Amino acid sequence: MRITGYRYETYRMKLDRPIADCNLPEGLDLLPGSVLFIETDEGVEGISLGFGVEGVSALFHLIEGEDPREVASLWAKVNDYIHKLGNEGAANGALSALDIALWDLKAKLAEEPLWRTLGAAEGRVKAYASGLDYCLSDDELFAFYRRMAERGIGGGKLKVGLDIEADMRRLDVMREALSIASDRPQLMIDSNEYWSPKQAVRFIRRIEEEFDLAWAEEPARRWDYAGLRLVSEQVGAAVATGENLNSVADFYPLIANQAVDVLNVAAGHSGITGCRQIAHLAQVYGLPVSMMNCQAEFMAHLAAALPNHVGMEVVDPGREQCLRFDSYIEDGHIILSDKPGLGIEIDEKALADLQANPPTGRGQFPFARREGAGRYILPLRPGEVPWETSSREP
Amino acid sequence: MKITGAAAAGSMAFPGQAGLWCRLELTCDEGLAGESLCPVRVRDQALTLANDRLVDWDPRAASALWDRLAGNAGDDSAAAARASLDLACWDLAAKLRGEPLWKTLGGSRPHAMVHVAMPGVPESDDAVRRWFGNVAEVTAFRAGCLALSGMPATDARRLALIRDTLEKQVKPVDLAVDAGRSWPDERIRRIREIERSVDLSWVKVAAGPGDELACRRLVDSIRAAVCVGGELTAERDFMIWLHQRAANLIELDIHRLGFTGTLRAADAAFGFELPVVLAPAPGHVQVHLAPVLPSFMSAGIVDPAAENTGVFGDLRFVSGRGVMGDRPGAGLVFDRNSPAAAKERSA
Repeated sequence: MRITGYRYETYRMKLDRPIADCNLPEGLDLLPGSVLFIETDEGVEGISLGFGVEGVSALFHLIEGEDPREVASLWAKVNDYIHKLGNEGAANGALSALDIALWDLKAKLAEEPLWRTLGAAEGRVKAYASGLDYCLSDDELFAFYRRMAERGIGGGKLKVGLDIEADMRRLDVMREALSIASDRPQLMIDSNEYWSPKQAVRFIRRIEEEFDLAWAEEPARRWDYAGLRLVSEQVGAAVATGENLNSVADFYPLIANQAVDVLNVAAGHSGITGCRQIAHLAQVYGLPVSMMNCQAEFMAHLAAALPNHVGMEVVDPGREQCLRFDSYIEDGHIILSDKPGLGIEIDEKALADLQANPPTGRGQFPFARREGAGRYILPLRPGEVPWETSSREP
Repeated sequence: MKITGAAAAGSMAFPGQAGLWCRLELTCDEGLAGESLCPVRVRDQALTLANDRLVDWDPRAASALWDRLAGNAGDDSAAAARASLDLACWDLAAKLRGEPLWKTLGGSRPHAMVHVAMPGVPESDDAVRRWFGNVAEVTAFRAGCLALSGMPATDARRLALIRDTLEKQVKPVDLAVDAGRSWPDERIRRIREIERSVDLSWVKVAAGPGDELACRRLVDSIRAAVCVGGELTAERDFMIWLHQRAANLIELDIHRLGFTGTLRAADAAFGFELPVVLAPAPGHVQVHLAPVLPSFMSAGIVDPAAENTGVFGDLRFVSGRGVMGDRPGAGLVFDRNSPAAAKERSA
């Protein structure tokens, strides 16, 4: 059993609805996509989705000819190789993509779903809804969270940041939509690093006068352990952060300085192997983790095997045009199938169609940080969002 | 695929391991059995736990089952029983996949650094010379560990003997000591005295809850790395040691943490950039973990000549490293002709 080759495909996809946060309030509905295939001498392929696969060419020689079932050792080999330049950017994307595809392969070769390979008892993971909803009108916001609530999801995370009074109105909309799934919906907010720590304290405390928040996500810069700790100490909500970090090493200062209460973990954390390391460190510290959203919720396989996982983010914006999978959401949980590996097949014809006829849409990913971030609030301009604001541009 | 039952039999002793051990077996509906070694003192507890919490569960859910077996924090007997069951679950999970455990865990074949640790405090310098001389004939071990006698001059002399013996095969060697449980101030004084004449790489300390600040003081007082963790029984026990920077090196004992707890605690140590060593285990099954622990440093070995007891692992020593074989599962083989096996049959 040997790794013999790789190929990757990139494409663009048009979402079913736009997504946004306070850094780009008008949002976008066009995202880049990629698929990495790792090939073996037995004809079985492993895949990974959605990463900077361009860096794979510089690292593939490290795993060529190796047994893909030895994924943890291969992770260490690649991680050691990139140590001088750092596990960041393209290197991190490639390490993550390789690792995920190797885990997919390992499970496929064992003819079992990946959640089982990772030691989980069942392929079932608690979910919460996340609209990436800054660009949704109040009616659209309600419709999204109601649709999620109809599938039993009783928790929601709202994008906030530029207009606290409007944020509070929209939190109420979200709560109302979720109320059919839970008597006491779990409410979370995400300001995507726009605020300074002291702004975060002021705004979150204001929101907490009327709402019981489960967590406030990225209330300050991802690496600012002192600022995040300050927020954690001064508000009632838990501070969640980490989804934009790269590895367990990046989490170390946050955890060691008690700056985080909920760790947002993700496929980009050096793959499944690296993401699991972070969750295990959190477990030793008694901290919960929450899995970031991804296409077809493939990271739910790992989430199912983590003892301290509290809920996976579900966005559901329609990113699966060229994927075939049969995981679904029921009773507030992501239900994974028993198909081998990630349980995802690539619809090569649909992929070829996307490549031949790239969709058009609005916005560019990733988007920039909004003016004023960490210093002052740049008010929403007229027409920037389709909902009623309380702020006015002078 | 379900666990159908548990059984235990036999009574064996191992060098460097306290008390007697038995063979624990988890059976499943596929006709295979997962095996591990279990301290006799917790045998009944392990069987009760298995029947209460493992029967009818899929053994491949080993990580989840570890959490299912969780008991009262700080209960050393419960931890040992839980660990024995976890080891047997992983053995069974690997056997069901028809592969050695190191591969199930995602590792490549272990070529693990090992350190040899002479069991107990030596009776004499001659005993030290003889034991390490025998060990050095097996292969060129790069590290040796001595249990301290409490007399720094004697210990320094013995460490020099170990160094000279092992360095006949390979240079340089790392020297470690097991300081056991001793009065903190006295421990610092003795180790500093040894360090005047011997370059110690690490000092293993038997420490549990409440010893963190004393160990932090040791960290700040000696040149060698302070190794702690071998007595801890749950992942969360490690938090305070990491947080207080009360150790430079983390020891993990699979007979307290199982494979699952060891994997988790090792990941946490990696997050803090701390290397880990694995405590000696009968049959050397701990070496399966070496390739998948991201900051693995060394595995402890107390009986490299395997001249014990009727239980054989799947480890051989090549150029000072422990190399695992391809037997499915953890690779333990019970010698049916050994005295221990005879006892087992009669039981």
